Amino acid sequence: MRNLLLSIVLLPAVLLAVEPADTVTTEIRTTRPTAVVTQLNLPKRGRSVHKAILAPALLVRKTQALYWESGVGVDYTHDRLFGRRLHLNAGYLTSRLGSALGTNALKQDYFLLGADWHTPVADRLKWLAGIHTGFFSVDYEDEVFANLPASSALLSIETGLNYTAGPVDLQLVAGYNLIAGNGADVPGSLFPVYYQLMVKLPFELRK
Amino acid sequence: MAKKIFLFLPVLLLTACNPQPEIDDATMLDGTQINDLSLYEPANYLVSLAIPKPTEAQKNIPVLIAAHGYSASTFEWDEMQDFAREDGSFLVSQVLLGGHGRDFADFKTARWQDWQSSIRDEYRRLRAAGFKNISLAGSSTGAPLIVHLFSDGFFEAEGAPNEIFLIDPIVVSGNKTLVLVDLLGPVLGYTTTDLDAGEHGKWYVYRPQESLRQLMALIDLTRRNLEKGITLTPGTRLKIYKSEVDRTADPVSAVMLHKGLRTATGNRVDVEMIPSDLHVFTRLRGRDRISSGDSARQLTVFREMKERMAN
Repeated sequence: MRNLLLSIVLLPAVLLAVEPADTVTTEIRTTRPTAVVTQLNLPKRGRSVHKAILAPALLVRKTQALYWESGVGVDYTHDRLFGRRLHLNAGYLTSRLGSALGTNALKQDYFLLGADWHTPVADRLKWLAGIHTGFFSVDYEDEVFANLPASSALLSIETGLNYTAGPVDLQLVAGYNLIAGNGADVPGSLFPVYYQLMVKLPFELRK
Repeated sequence: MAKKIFLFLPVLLLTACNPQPEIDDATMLDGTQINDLSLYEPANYLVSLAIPKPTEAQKNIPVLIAAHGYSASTFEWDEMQDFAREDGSFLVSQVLLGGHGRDFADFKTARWQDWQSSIRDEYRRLRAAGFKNISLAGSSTGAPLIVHLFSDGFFEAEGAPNEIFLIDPIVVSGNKTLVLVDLLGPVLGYTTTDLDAGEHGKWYVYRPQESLRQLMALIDLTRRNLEKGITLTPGTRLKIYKSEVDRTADPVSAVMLHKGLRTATGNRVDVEMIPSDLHVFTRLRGRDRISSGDSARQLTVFREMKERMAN
């Protein structure tokens, strides 16, 4: 678990470290066929390279047979991240801005870190698959429940589609929490299956 | 050739999607030869049948309607019945949930409303007979079945009960794959439960996907009702007893009940977390292993239930 978390966090650093920027640029310009360059959406000859795309996002999640939750996130990709196929993201989700708003639903929070692999399948449409980790906590609001597990590491896999609609990207995924409540040492309100919409507003960091 | 394949495929899928368990009629409750004992001697289990015309003195004796859990039987409350008969100050009416205690086919076709109907029927009969101090206890799935009677206004129409006891109630399953039962159920057909030696013939071994879907529907409805809030009838008190570790009914069920239930005066209900890893810690008979601590906890809770009913 700890190794997985470390590998996800360190992945961009490793990718940037092993391939010096100049070397990559030269290779792309001189050796890649034009068709591949187009498919990978890499910068065209003569223009500046190493585009980084940052996308603040709104998140809405529905957990199967449980709550609506919403929050914010950010998605990052870069030419060097396999031609923007690899996306790194972070997010925060809470039932406080969902089912628990004005009801007796439990107040619970997700702190998320993840990596997705995007594959173009059609114009403006990409299929994606990812792995996510993070931290989950729930507030039972009463001391009588002090002995129940109230937090857990998160580990989930996701797949779905990303559609570019004008200035925004709509990303709809289905996910499965590999760590879920079990009646013993994981909070019982951490359910396995969820569906999530991410509305991203991507913009270029450098030109 | 292609035509034959097209004809063969639906048959194959149908076979794969409707697997049938191998039931031993001679030893399994799922079979046709073994039934719950309350079906043979109902007056030994139901107070309304044992005392159909109570005296004025009998009408004031506290009566506890005890509802067992999903796939279980009246056996789950036998020890409470023994305690009450030895004590002599209150009566226990052990109801057999609809679709339970009979056979696999009955279990497969019963809806959760059918499970609940025997609780409703016994409550009505006791009220009609004139019993004035009626309480209810629900273990595991028996708990949401009782809680639902407050949601749908049953007690407002039939008269308020005195005490409600929820023993290891289930609102969230310990096994979270239950949320996928609509998707996987038709493929799996049924699931199998491992029973201890003393539990054979008392619990269903096989759980048909149809009944698992009913269970999921019931607990999902209960959770949503609790989110909106459920108010008890005036004069009714409720206490939740929940094992801190429970892989069948997730302990978070107690949190949801505690947050979602209110007395008629707006107060929170009572809750006690039990240092146990048993599901339905009040039922010890039939288990392979129990500790002295388990026995002490069972007795403590039985005594407390008796005292609360007397008040």
